Amino acid sequence: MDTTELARAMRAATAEIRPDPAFVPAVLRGAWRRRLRRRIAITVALTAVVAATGTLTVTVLRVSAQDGQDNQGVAMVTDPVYVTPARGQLASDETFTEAATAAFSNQLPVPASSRLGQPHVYWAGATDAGKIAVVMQPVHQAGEAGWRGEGVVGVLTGSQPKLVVATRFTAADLVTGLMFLYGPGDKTALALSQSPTAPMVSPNWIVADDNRGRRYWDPMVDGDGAWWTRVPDPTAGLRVVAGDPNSTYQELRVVRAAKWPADPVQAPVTPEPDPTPPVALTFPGTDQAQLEGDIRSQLTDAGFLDPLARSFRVECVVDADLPTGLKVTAVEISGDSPDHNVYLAVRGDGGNNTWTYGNPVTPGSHLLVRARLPEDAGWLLAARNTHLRYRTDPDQPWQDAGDEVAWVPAAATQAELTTDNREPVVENIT
Amino acid sequence: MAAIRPDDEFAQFVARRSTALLRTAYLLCAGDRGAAEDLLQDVLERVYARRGRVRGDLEPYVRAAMANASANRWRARSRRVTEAPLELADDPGVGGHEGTVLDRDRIAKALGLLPARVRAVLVLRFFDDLSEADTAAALGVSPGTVKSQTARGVARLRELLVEPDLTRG
Repeated sequence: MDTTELARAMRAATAEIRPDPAFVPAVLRGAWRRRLRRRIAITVALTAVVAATGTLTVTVLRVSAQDGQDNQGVAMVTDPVYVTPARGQLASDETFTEAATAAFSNQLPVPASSRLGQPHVYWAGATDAGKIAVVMQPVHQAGEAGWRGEGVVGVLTGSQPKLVVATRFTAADLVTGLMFLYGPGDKTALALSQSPTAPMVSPNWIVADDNRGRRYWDPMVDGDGAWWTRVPDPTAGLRVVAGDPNSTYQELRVVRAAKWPADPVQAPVTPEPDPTPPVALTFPGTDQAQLEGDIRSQLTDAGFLDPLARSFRVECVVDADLPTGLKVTAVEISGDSPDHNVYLAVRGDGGNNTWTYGNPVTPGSHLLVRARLPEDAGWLLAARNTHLRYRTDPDQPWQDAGDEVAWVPAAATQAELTTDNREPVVENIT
Repeated sequence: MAAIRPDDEFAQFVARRSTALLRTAYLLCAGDRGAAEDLLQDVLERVYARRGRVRGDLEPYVRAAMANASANRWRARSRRVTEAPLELADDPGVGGHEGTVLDRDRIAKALGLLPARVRAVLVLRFFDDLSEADTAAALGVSPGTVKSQTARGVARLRELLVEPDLTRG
């Protein structure tokens, strides 16, 4: 089943579903009734607040007017993360937490006019990298009177606390979580997450000799309100997730100290959209985006692609129906790494494709595809705008193989590529 | 002619779009018709109270709210009466009209075997035709998560819906 069939099946499954005639009136009655109940509840709640001032969990903070900036009046900071008592084994160490908040105030490169209230210690503990404090403070943009839920959260390390990394966040970010990397080589990781289970860290996507890859996941250490671990030489392939990485999970945002304080309040990292492939894709009956999704999905399922890769691009697709009856498709893929690779699908009935690794795309080579076909069925060669010939031995004569795409015998050792009237180029196939 | 009031607009929206929305809810609830009506009604009632704060079309907002609410509903499912047996392997489907009905049932029930978030991704992507970006925004996840969950969901559905070859003895 491909996604087109899935969409068709879903439509067929629901074609006869229609609401009862009584459904719409029931919805409208329920909506109006619910609105009435809500108005009554709000009235009662306001009465209770007036009667018991001081029990409200809303914190009222005055905008700092330091540095002669305009006082924006009073803003309501309603998020409990700023008032919940600190957690961690050093949360009750007042000497340390006071030193941490003082250092946060002095070292945070955010204008005082943008800060609201006082810094709040969210977590304080000890890891194998020493004493750590996580301090946060609500902020707003200069000139704004209200608060939009944003804050700055920073990590401070050492007995004489020093702010080593900070980022802008909203409390919603803490539901899935943030992970800070800091210390020598950014090898110490500290995560804030409200996940009930330990966030799982994978340093990289590891590719084996058969060109299939996998990730190895390790849980972070529970530090009572925060999670920590050590990671070996963090790379762009580092991923951390909340949940089960093999089923349902969400990625935590990673904030690296090495990129700080050049960009102290980084925006959330959002993957760049996949660019449009530069070549016309040739599977019939599917649109381009659909095709990219299918190929990515199939290659991921076959173990060739990292499910957590940030980028994916289909550079080229070559379809070939061989005289033997074999139908193959070669695709050139680029991703997070600078390397391009060719993968080969033997097309079966009903979209059942069997994928194998084709070849790495060698920089400077004209031969884009030089993939060995399954069952020793020869080689698939492809090169744009070229005429192809092959030979089985340097002493043997060249055999004509056609334009751009060629199927050559398994014994072929060299290909000759001729573009327009230029001098032919000879490349080894094996 | 009386002016159209906000309540009238909402009533028209419910009347006009209930069928399409109920079909989405039906898939999100894995073929449980009663649960789908409950889900849609609950979401519409909540949306009614918030409609003044919704920017743009109401329908995408309702679909996103249903997807998120269905995920929460599924988390609580173990505390409710089991809605349907899900032994797909024993239900290979038969031919004819009855077979068609059973096959449709299998799609919905197969969706029910997926994690709620994955099911929501598939329904929004391939039934409601939302883009990856719009699906990600609706569910509050990254486009990368939508891609990976789409891949896993489709693969899992393939496994669940493999048809045994009935021509063989």
